[in-house]
Amino acid sequence: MKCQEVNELLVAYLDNEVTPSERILIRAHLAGCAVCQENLAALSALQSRVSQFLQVRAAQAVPSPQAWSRLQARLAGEARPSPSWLPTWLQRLAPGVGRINRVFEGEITMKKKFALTTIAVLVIALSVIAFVPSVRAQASEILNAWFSIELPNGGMGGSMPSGFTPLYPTYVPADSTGSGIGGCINERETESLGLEYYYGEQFAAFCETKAPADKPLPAGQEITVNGQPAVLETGLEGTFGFGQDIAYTDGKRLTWYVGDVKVELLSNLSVEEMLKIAESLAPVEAEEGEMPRPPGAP
Amino acid sequence: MDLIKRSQAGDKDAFAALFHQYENLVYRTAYLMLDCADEAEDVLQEVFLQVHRSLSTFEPSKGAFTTWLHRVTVNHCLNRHRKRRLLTIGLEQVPPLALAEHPSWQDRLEDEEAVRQALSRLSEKLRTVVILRHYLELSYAEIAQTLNIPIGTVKSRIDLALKTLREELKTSPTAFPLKEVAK
Repeated sequence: MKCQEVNELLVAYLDNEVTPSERILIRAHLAGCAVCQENLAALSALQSRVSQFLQVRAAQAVPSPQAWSRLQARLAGEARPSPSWLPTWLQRLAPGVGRINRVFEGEITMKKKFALTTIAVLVIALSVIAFVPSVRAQASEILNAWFSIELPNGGMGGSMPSGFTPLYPTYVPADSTGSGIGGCINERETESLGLEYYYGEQFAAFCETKAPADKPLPAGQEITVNGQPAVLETGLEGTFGFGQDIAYTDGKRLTWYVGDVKVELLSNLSVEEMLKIAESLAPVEAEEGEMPRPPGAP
Repeated sequence: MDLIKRSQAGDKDAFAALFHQYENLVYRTAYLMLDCADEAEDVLQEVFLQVHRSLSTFEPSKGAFTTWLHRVTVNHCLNRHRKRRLLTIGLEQVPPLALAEHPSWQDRLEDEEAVRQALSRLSEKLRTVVILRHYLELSYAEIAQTLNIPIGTVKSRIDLALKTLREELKTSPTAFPLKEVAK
């Protein structure tokens, strides 16, 4: 082995993560190379230094003694039924909250009217909420309970479209985290709903809009989702996320229709996983005046 | 019956015991990843809310509970990083640690601060693997499973992280010899 090859394996060697044959070759090289021995010693000292720092810093960090009681309160809050009058007027009052075009059509293009109305309403509402403590407490509880829909595995958000019944995946990859529910008003300014899930460095993002009458599909590989015609576009490149921080080169977009809803699913998951998610879509259950809830939820 | 099975069966006392058994681990991992006590508290809540919701789907045959817990914790922290970027809160903006008068303590604190700053300058991907390897002491295979990335990627990230840290810390003082540290 040459110095460069050894150097590339030194960290793994220290971590005991090289193969037995690599270990033999590295040891043989080290026995006769002072430079690599020095490198090894420096990396080993650095590992100890970093480990010590992390252990010391972690040992100083202690969660709040109230952590369990806070969790208990939140668990109890989740189980509590909610009042039945708020969501309808809230949706009418601020229909555009959270709708941001992020992925499907390019730049952020919140519809101006929606944006201005929403901002005005929010400024007034937040002023009242911020300066009147009793209102603040009640508002927090009501907003948490009402103006939101819970995503599988964690996330939640607000603002439901009124032009169509949103669809919601009943399957997402295990341990993914729902990061938000918003919208993706596109260049046609169509009302829409966006859902995002993250799984480590993989993601799945839905954009749902009301289907046009002719239900066109883009060019791409023709497949089916639950027996319905769909198109899969592959080899997409870009970045995804609030901070545009997941760079993908193997992005895929699946487009299809479920009743009167056009669904686009952008993801860097495998096609099999995307299809599994796509085929699990079911309408959000929400009666007039009731909190929208995932399909099948009590 | 163990705590997980009892919690899955709806035993509230078992879930409380499960929380108390793992709260330090989750909190400290989040604290190291986010470098913020308040956010670590929030992540602790979010992680155990998710654990409570999803525990029924957890299958011990598919992997250890701690691996699942690490994955949920790391995912919540990475999500926070993503959202935080919009607000551009850099770790560099955190005020440096106050230095003590005693020279040896000063050395030690200066060294800790140097390592903290160097870690904070790593990308979140590199910082995450360093924390999983050197705080949680996970193997490369366990890190790969936690982050859902190939083991080769783990290997290259850890290598790059260590070599980047070595460059960053070249000019800073060497480590103050620390006594045994309780984990």
